[in-house]
Amino acid sequence: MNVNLTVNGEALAVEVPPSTTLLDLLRDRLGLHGTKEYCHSGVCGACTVLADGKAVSSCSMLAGQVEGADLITIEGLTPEEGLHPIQQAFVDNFGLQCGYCTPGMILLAKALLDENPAPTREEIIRYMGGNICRCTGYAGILRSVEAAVKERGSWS
Amino acid sequence: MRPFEYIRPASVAEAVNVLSERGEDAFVLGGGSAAVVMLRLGVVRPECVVDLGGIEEMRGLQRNGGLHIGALASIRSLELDDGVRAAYPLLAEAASQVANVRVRNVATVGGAVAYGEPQTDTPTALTASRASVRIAGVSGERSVPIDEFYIGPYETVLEQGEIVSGIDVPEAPPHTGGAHIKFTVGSPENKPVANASALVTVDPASSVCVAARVVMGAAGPVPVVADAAGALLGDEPSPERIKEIAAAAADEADPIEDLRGPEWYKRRILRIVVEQALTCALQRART
Repeated sequence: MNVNLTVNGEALAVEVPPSTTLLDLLRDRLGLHGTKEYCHSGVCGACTVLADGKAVSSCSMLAGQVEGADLITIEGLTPEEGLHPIQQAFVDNFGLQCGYCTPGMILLAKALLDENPAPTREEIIRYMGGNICRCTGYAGILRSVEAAVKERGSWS
Repeated sequence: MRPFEYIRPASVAEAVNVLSERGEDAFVLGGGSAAVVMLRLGVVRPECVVDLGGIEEMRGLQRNGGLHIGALASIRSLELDDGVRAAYPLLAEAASQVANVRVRNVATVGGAVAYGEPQTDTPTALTASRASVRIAGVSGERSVPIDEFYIGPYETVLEQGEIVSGIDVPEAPPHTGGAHIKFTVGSPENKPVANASALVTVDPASSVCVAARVVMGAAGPVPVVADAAGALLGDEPSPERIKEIAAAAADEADPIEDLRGPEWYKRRILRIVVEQALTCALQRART
């Protein structure tokens, strides 16, 4: 089947078998390996991408479901030069160790800040709690998002 | 994933036609958060997947007297909609506790109802709210009270070729309060060990209860409507009385042992979530 969608600003028409997940489309067909695969069940958040601005688990959607959608992956968030301010906040605040959950965490933080430019600590925990990190113990991630919120004025 | 044909109908009529033609070969996909996992695991092996996501007429939330929830409305829209939060806060409160934000963004209310999973929050709150399920099929539409919709775990009155097209919720009278309490182990995003929704109406002059409904989830094969709530009528219950009624409600439940705990433990948890839901609903009804 043919799927028309926009990925990181580029309009694409991709021919895939109907049983292709959005995750497989991004990784295997488009070579966007920043989106990670782990639990295959919408729980862990490693495969988080933005579809029409909303955070979704790309493992639990079929490619056909994103017909016409505007997708952003971690590759699309990253500028040509340097890092996105949220990425920089994660680097500056030790928001990552092994890095496997990081693309998902950063895209989820982007979705949160787009919805709510000044979330409280409680709101960050509530929103981000669903994405799992096995290294940091979350304190660094929370610090990173709080730092990104503080810097929000300079990059929004 | 096993290969399948993919069909994305544009209308309810088209969807029910293709579903009745393809019979058992077809599998319905709403938002996909449960369906895609089942396809991937091979729990279902359909010849064709019918994706309802393109059916415009099944989208959105409408309020006129009651609330009509299009089957494709996301759980997240129920959580965030200002009208729902104002007039149906119990539904918004339950929706906000489902899984994680990624799942709530894509999972549909119709899907949550049609799936018939006992360990989830939305059906508990919809049952407490006396919702009806609109069912579309080739011979037309019918409406079934949600109390009669569930037959067993993952089993509903939906016939071959039928889909849930929407859910209707009556508006609660003034001086009604609702609350949904979910208890999990591990992480709040996990499926509930048990949950309870309470919807209580009080008479503002005398402060006594004039209507009360308590529903328990993950408490049996289908959402359990507690008869014990009847004891609240005409009463302005003390905290001790609420405890007694919650204990009686928990005795009506029929939980099973699973990875979330043994049966006795779930019954203990049910007592607590029912007590908390009732206490909170009564407080909200009085203010």
